[in-house]
Amino acid sequence: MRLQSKHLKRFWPILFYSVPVLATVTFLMASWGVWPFEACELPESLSSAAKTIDHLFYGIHTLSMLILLGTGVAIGWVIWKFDHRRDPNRKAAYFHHNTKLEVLWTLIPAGILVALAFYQMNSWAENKMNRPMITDVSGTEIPKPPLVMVKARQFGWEFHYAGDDGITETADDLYIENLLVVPVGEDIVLQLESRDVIHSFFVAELRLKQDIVPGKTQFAWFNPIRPCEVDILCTELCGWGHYKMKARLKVVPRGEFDKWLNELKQDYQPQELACRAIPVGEPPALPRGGGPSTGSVTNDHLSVAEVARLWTHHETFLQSLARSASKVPQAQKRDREFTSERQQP
Amino acid sequence: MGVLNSSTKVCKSILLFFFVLMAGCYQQPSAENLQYDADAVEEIRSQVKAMDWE
Amino acid sequence: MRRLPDNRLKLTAIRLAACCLALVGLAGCGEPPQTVFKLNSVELLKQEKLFLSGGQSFDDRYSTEIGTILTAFFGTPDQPRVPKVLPEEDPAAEVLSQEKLDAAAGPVLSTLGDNGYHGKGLYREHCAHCHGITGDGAGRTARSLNPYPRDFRLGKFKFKSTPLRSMPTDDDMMQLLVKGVPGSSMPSFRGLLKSDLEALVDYVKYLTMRGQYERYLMAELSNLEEGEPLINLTASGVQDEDDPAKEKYLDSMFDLVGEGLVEDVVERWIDTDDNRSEVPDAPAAMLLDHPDHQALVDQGRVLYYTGGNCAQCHGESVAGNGQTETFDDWTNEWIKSPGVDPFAPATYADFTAAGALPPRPILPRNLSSGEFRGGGQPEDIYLRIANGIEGTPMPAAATLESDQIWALVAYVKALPFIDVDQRLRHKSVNDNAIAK
Repeated sequence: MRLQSKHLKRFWPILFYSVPVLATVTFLMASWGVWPFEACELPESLSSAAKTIDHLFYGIHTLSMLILLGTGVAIGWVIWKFDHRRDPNRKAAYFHHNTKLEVLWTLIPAGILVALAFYQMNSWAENKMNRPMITDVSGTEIPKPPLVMVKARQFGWEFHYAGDDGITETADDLYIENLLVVPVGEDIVLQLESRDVIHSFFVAELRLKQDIVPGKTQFAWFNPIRPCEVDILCTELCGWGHYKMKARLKVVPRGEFDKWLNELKQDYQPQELACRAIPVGEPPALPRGGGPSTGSVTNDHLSVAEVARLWTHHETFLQSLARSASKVPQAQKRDREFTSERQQP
Repeated sequence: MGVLNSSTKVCKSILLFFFVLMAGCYQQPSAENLQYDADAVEEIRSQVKAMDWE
Repeated sequence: MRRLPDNRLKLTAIRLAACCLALVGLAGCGEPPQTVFKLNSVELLKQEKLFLSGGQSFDDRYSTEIGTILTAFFGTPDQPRVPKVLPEEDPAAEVLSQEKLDAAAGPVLSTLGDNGYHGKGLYREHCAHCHGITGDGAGRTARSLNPYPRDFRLGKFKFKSTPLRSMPTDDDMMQLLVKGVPGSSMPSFRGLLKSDLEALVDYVKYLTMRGQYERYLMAELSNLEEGEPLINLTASGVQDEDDPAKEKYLDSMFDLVGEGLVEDVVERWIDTDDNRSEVPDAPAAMLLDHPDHQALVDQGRVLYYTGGNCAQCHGESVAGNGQTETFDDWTNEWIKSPGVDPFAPATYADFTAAGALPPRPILPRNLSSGEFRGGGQPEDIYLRIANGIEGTPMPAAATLESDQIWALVAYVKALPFIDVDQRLRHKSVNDNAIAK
């Protein structure tokens, strides 16, 4: 009887201590993928940026684990050691403020945070600030233009591919819902916009997450390392249909991408014209701009391969920008101004 | 007194929770639903079958 | 301190009440009631207002009889039936497949089934939230959406390749499911299996036929004598063909079933592919980098203000602000009833009580937004202009040649990329040109 009541007296410390113990056990089980936490690690990475991000993730994860273990053990020790019932005669010490300790437990976490801040800086800049650059004909470095304008809306994703001119938000844009196809092994730049409320573009496999704020144009980029097919999710609660705001991302080889884009383009050509064979081997016409076109009636249709070449090398990108200056959307103007400012020392 | 007040608050939030729970279980009034006579349904089906539509 | 016991008493009372409420709440969740279709109360009220004097209403027996006839042919949400009438070669069997209906109907069971469909209850999983179990466009979220979800029961579909007053093709409906309707709350269902989408198309057709037939039956009520049933089942046993009751019974069977269901509803859905409008070849100038493209856009601009008369509704600035006080057919259905003023809520309180959503004027499309609800491909826009849009004030362009329509398509496609000042200048440029 006596034994039982003694154990009952320990009920509260045991109950409270079970919380950090459970947390630590869960944490360790998840870290090593023990049942039932087998699938808790990050999904297979498909982006070149994922390496540094995963590194950071697991680094912070390990650090948190050590801190959790340390504090858990310390709390357990304190609960046990200073339990009133272990030594009923012992008086509780009443004290306040210990400068040394307070400085210590302020400086150590601050030091950890500052170290982390420095440690992640390159990765952050790489993934959120330094858009991939390309060199134009005049040898100037310019930010790579977006391949697709992503418009998020309740509850779906619109993808507006830059057409022949390589510029989004022009009359030759190609539009498709809930399917994003991109070529493998290239820097893909997305221009993110929202039609209504805040959404968030998230592809776990690419370690890419970017909030999309209405009225704001943002850019996101990634470099997929192998062909795959994964989901694009919205990770900002955007309304009742948030759960179904899902699109498919297909990463395919360049050739297949060109073929697919060409098929999409055929949809946007009136039928009779779409059926006409695309001339091969003809010199490519300049991308459509404000001025008169140099293309003839039979040669007014750029083949996708030619577009791809234009797109990849951007031989005429600046030229076409200048030609269609009046049509360059505000976002891109801003973006170019921003970049030129930033490049000046 | 302070303890009592806070437990009243807890009770109030529990009440609110159940109220919301009930609201979620609200069913549309049966008057809006389609009434039909199950026997007559079978009757019509068999009669339509028996009809000579020519 | 004296108040303490009081408080304790109160607390106990509150706890007790909470327990009782919990019991009641859990009981409410226990047994899900059988899912049933909803009666088209708005249509019934409309018929009453049109044909009965002074606030009278039809006998409740009629609602039950309509429910009985509908259930006899169409079944229930859990057990839908292809509305077959003839023992063999029934037209309904050509239009609907029982297997697809079964996959789309019923409660949600979202696992890949061995029938090749994604389980069961596809309609309730993906559609009923907005369009309602009955397809009345009044699901739980309907009220908070603008535009309202489509009410299928009228049998009108906006975005299709067939002319006004004919039913859409299966492919039209499939395309709409895959692409969604940009600018509305209808998302794209591209992620679903093709077989699932096909099942949903059939189920939407099924709900539409059911709704069309329900409205047909309700329209028949005003032709009946006092207390006379739609179908007098008791007379079916009479052998004498000349008996007036038997004659009436046979008449009603031929009228309500042969004509009403088979001819007026089911057969309109047969071979819809044959009704598809031809989209004539586009002029080569439709290509964006064609030297004459700008001339085509200019021609379209002139037509926008003159021959096409587009500016009247879509506005001189193309922002969709020309005519803003008209309603679509789904709203016109009941706001045209005697005594209803769509701008005075008190005059239609009985309709909203019957389930009608508060009327909202339909706005002409803002053509500068770059969003095209029926699809942004040139052929889509061609069809919208040439055929008009069913159920809306957008008329078919009867007076325009196909090349003129293509010019309008070119102009409409170019509009989002022409800045506002320039667009507003178009009007005066045109007026001057006409004056000369």
